[in-house]
Amino acid sequence: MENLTDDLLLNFLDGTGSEAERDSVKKLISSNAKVKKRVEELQVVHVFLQKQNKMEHPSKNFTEKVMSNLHARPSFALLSPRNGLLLLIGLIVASGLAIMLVSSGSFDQWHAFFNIGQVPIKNNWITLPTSIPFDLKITVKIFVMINVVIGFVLLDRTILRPIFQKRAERY
Amino acid sequence: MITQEENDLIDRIIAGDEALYAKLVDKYKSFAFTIALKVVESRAEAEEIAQDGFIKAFHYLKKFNREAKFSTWLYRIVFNTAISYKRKNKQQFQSIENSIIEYAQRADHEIEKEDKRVFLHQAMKKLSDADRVALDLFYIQEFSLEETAVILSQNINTLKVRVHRARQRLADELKRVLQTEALTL
Repeated sequence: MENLTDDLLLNFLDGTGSEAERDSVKKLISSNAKVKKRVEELQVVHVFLQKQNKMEHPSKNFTEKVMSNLHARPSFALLSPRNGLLLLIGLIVASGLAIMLVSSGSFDQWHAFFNIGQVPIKNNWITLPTSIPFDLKITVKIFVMINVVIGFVLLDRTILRPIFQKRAERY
Repeated sequence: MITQEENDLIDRIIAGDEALYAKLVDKYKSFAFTIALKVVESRAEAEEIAQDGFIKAFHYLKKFNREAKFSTWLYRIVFNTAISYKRKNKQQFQSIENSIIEYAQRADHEIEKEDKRVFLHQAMKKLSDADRVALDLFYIQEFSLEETAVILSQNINTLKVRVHRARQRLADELKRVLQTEALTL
């Protein structure tokens, strides 16, 4: 019943609803103190919303900005700050573990030679090596370096830029 | 339904006269910006979102169904861009600095406790994003109810009910706060 009355009252405030509905609301307001009070409560909200909602205008060079970036990719990064932070933490943990394992000498014995001496290629001009060395320690170090570069990019794009953007906006 | 003038304009833009797109941007930038602002509540972010919306609309212009209004199609793109932006940034970690400012704002609000608007602002923040945006767009006179419903991908009746319930909640919240205030005085 309350919802029904509220709906009627809100329609009344919006100026919608039939003539008969409006008349019945007017009668209710004048005859029922509770309804009158409720109209006043809803009217406060109604007036507040009317006043605070107006058309807003962007900066003067908005159109120029759009036109100059018309062929650019949408500006938002694919990663949210939260996901960027999670990925960054993952990278730090993975790199940290890798560095710990390298410094503890876990990969010292992990080197091998891929023997290619048996490959049936006859070539008189180029001397092919008979084997290719593979060192896991070097591979892990390269992995850590790549992680560090990705980490810096993530830190910049998904965390620092949004923070400085918000700060610049605030001041 | 799209106007003949806009239809011709879009044809020429698609044909390669990209500079003409500035006319559409000029015409609808305030609307697009307002929609974005209602979702993200930050002018800088809203501006970026609105720009992004226009750029997306430009890229998808060939796919635009001419039976709809260009403005409604554009607003929907902007609204969806704003929603996905907000979703991505929702769980963004809050800096200590942010917390201090919010605290300071709350303190300011305490000083103005007689002002109902302050309570209503606070109550608005308690509404869901969908309710708040529906309410805001409903009260911007430049947007028709039908247009707002299309932008929000809702049918008109659902939108009306949503707006009614949101206003009821605001009124109830204000009543509750004022009663609490009266009891503590």
